[in-house]
Amino acid sequence: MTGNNLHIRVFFNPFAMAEYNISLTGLADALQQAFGVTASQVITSPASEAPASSLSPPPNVRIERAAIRSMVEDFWRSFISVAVTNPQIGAQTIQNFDGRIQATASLMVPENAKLFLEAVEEERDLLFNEYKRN
Amino acid sequence: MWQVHTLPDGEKIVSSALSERITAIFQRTRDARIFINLVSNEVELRLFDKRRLPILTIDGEHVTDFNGLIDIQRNLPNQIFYFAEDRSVCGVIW
Repeated sequence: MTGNNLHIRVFFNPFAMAEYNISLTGLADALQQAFGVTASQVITSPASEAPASSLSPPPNVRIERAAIRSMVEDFWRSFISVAVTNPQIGAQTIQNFDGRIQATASLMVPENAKLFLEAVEEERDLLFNEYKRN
Repeated sequence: MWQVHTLPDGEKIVSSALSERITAIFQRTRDARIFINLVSNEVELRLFDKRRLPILTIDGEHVTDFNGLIDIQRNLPNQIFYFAEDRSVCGVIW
């Protein structure tokens, strides 16, 4: 988490909101001491901070990639289980998954959404190719 | 001011007071992910909204909207990405 100031907007029930500002000074040392990680590793928007030409994504991007792979695998398993016997439901499964992915991306900042959608597409291609090979 | 605390079980956390009523806490899980947990004390009469999660912004530029975690959690139910309770609301940041 690099930067000078952290602004937090908190919502209360019902219909109340509060905003807080806190300095990030000293956080880097505290994170290093407590968790052994650097502040630059604990970032909230890794995609937007990574250089566009970066060939080696930061560790947190790889962690999210694993989660995306898992999500796509879950979809693929449910798709395979119905597509062979009922192509219509299979097509609906794809539509539902696409809808969920788009909804998820729409809640992200644009840079993260772009990376997220690209990662999902790549994992789908990889799984499809693995399926064809088998 | 950010401070490191060691809990009785040996776990370390990093915390700082946002106000007299709310504290921000960095915590690490066993799988090495790090969460920010916002905790209110008994002086705070209001309860957190469990459907509208906090939004964090660094230097007015980098926005992390915990509400985006709701759908991610729905798609990946076997892993915790956030939780929201009356006096504690928490989201993964790393």
